Amino acid sequence: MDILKNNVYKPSMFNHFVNDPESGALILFNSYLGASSIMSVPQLKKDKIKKWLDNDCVYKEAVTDDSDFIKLSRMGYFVESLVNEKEQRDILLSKLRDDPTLRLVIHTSKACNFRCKYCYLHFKDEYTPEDNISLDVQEGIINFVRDNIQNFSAVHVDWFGGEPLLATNTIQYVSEKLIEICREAHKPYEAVITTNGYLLTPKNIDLLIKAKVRHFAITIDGIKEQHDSFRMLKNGSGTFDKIISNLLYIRDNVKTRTISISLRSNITVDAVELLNKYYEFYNKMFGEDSRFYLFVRPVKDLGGDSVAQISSSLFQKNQIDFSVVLDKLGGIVDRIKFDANFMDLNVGGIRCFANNKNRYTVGVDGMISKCDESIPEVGIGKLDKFGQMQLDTPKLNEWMKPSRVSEKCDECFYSCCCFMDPCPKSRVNSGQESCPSTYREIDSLILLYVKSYPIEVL
Amino acid sequence: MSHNTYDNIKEEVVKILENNGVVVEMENDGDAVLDIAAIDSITFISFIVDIENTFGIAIPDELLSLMIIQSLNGFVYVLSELLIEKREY
Repeated sequence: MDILKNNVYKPSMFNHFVNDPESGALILFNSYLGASSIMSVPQLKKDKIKKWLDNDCVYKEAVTDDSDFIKLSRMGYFVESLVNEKEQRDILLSKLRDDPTLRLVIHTSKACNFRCKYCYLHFKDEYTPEDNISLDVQEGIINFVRDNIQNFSAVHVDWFGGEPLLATNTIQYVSEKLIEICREAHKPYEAVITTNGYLLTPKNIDLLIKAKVRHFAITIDGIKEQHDSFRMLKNGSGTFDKIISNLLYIRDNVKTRTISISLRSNITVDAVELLNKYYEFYNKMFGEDSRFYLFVRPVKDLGGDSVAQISSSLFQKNQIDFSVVLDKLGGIVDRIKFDANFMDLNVGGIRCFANNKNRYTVGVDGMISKCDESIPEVGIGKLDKFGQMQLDTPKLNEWMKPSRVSEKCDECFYSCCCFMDPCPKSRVNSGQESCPSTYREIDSLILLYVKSYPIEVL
Repeated sequence: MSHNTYDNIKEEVVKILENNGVVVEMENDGDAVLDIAAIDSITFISFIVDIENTFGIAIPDELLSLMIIQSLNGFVYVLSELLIEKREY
């Protein structure tokens, strides 16, 4: 049977390969295919495969009996010569942008009980009820969903803030109403929460599970000595022990396997030497429970008054590549994995949802934005208590229009992960395209994945 | 487990499937083969969460796959067994 139908093939433009210094293997990755297609080419076959990958085209008669080529072309590492891959990528992006799921990022509170050293937001000294989402805005959200539910295939809510758990009454009330609306309309519902974890008490965990929250994104910066020096309460007290206690409660008492918990650590240069201790701690505590996974990112200067005090510890200021962190973790990774980091290897994984058609952020005062943030600079409209969303169309279009990309971006192997618009806010505000930092760390990230999960060997 | 209880569970499962937008077409033998290709991850997890909250159980990891709901009767049977196990503890 003639398996190769075309006469001429070409390497996919989304291919990338890395040499694994430990095994000597060639690791293949393709951003259109994602992390699950990462493949190892043993040393014996490396030269042959590299020759194909380095050529502009591969002729059928040269490879027709070669099972390795057949396998790689079936997977998508080689495509027929006439295939327009950019068009395929653009079709994929359109599908993602037009996702019929209604995605609402709801800021329940603009206050926060923490005063993190690198936070760019400005908080008042005293927390007042006006910092929480008003009843009118809550009713506006409910009415909006009720009136428009038939236009969507599902509803996804992201509880955000400030610290969203400062307004648990809101989460409970709005969730009950939205879940009921979805049930009556026969639409599925799910929610996630981004929280500092301090108020993730057993009572609140129970509330959130009942509110169909299935993912908890928690920031906990490494081990106690690091975390408490960066993420403290308003009065300066440490927060690590309480958060860990809350997480252990989830581990030992919350039985549902439908939830996932990502533990994000924001890493500074000083923390690199503590990576072993950091990993050992979380591996011991949560390594047996696959619902927990880790996520590492460098602390960045996003502005604000606080971050200046730790400026000397930032990767960007020291011109040290974050790859060193991923390389070190690759040497010690065991049971608990870096699944949130590995999202950067998947289609659209590093893409921002801001330019999804059906995605809105609702601020405590009803301001609508496309970005996660709810600050005036990114506002595009307002939601009233009747559920009417008044949008400034020119501003909305700025967020929604496809970005003008450079040839470098358009030809990039990584473009199926970022879709050439990883930060629409940056594009809208500065007119500049931004390259995600993961692009610079991609080799280390791929090797970390290889160390974490079994992969296919050619 | 009595037939009555089994039927009650099945009725509840069908209601939860439909509440999550899954079309349930019963066949002559009383089973329904669900089109799992048409069920995305939001739908599946929303359904499982509703099952867990309604029946007060946790579906184990090894059963958390779309294949579990390929047959309505098959899922109801698995659910019934989990409920019996729960009562025994």
